Amino acid sequence: MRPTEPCEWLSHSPEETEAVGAQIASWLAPDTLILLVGTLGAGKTTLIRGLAHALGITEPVRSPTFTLVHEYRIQQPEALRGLPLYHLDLYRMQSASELHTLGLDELLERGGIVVIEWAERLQMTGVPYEPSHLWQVTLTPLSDERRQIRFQSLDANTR
Amino acid sequence: MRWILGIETSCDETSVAVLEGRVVRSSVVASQAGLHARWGGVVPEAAARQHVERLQPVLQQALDEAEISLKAVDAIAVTNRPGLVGALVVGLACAKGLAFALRKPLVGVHHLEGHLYSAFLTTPDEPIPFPHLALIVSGGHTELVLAHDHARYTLVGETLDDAAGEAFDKVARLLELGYPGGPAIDRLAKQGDPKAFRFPRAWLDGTPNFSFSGLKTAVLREVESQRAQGALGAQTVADLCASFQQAVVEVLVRKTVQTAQTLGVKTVTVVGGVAANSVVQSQMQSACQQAELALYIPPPQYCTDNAAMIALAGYFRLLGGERADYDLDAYASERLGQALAQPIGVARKRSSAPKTN
Repeated sequence: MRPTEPCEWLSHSPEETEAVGAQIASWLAPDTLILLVGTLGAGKTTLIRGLAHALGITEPVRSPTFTLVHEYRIQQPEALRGLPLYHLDLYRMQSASELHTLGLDELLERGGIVVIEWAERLQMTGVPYEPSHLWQVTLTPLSDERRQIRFQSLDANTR
Repeated sequence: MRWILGIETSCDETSVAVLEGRVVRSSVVASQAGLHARWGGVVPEAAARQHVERLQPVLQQALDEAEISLKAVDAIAVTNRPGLVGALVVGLACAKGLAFALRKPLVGVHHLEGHLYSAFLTTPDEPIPFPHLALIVSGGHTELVLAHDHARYTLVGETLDDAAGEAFDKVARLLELGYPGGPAIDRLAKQGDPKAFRFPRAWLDGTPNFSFSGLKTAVLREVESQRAQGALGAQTVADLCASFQQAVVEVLVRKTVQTAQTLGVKTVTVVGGVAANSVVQSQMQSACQQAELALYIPPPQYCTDNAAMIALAGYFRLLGGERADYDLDAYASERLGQALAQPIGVARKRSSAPKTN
């Protein structure tokens, strides 16, 4: 069950960060938008790799910094099977107009799971859409290996 | 099949080219250079609306430079995968419209297949050497592809996290070197010592796969530590650039050459934006020479995204009899070629090769 209160993990390795991603995957329902916040090297792509693998996605999960959007087909669990997982990266986005040209709003309306790296950039425009579930995951490097990972639901009922 | 029109809108660049047979008659790429400067040296306009605005004038310029009219076009090749769907459909709609209006054949091209052919844009009189091993290395890709023949590819290796060009861009940003980051690092590294900092190389147990995420993080930590000590002067920045670049290039070169040897391939190509890097070129050159491999690297204007390579790939598909219907679609993700049935482990030559952490 997804916690209604914010929760935190301490990760000591990329493997543990992937495990946190898998845990978050187990809470997913259709039409969920996850905002990922964290600096360079904080482990955002690593966390998404764990999440994607837990959803039965077998192809490599790479950074979409240049390609901007990666699309995967969710294989499991049954409730999500066949839905798209969109992995976005706003690192290169500089202006609100660029966010529009990315067609973010259209991707968000397809009922799948959308995970956005460098979601800080959305502060320029706000989230251009009201998903069923809106979560934020914040990764903070504490030292070379250690990461604090914080999960928070921004759903209307818990906001 | 004399005049081939190529159209490429898969990511940032809007490009149209005209080929006469295999010979490039024009290749126009709408550049965002002015735009980057305006944004204080960072990155680009992303997508569809920019392509819509630019495509028409770019098309006209390409026809003008080739000194042909639209009516002379014999076939149209267009990138239809992979990329931003919103961006791809702009080029695709244009290509379909032209094909329909002109009643000329249309063919869809995989963006990476275009990069494979970019190595042969300047040698139109030579047959394309098959089989060859291509290192596709750019901001979005780092892949080793074995080209058996036209339209027959095997994906041999790929990055498991970041592309090499992405690592260049992110390190350039850390060091506040402006845009574009790759050439800035290449330039500064000439003044630096590539052995000043020992950054990790991800050998991944000798497999032909790549990983640059750990290197990026290692450079980040070093930059932070140098900055905290107030030691981030010009020489240190140059040393960081040189050491980082050397770490990337060493992995690219050694894995490419070893994979070629393992597969028994005699010809290697290096394509994509990072292929324009001077140290990639010089070290690949000497490693290939030593290993007696023929090496093809396109000139810089064909390393980065361009429509000439799409037109050339399309040309060979058209010669092979391929024709697309008007329902040709755009796809966000698709790998080029089949993955290897059995992953290959490339024997590591030097047991002292450092492992990544």
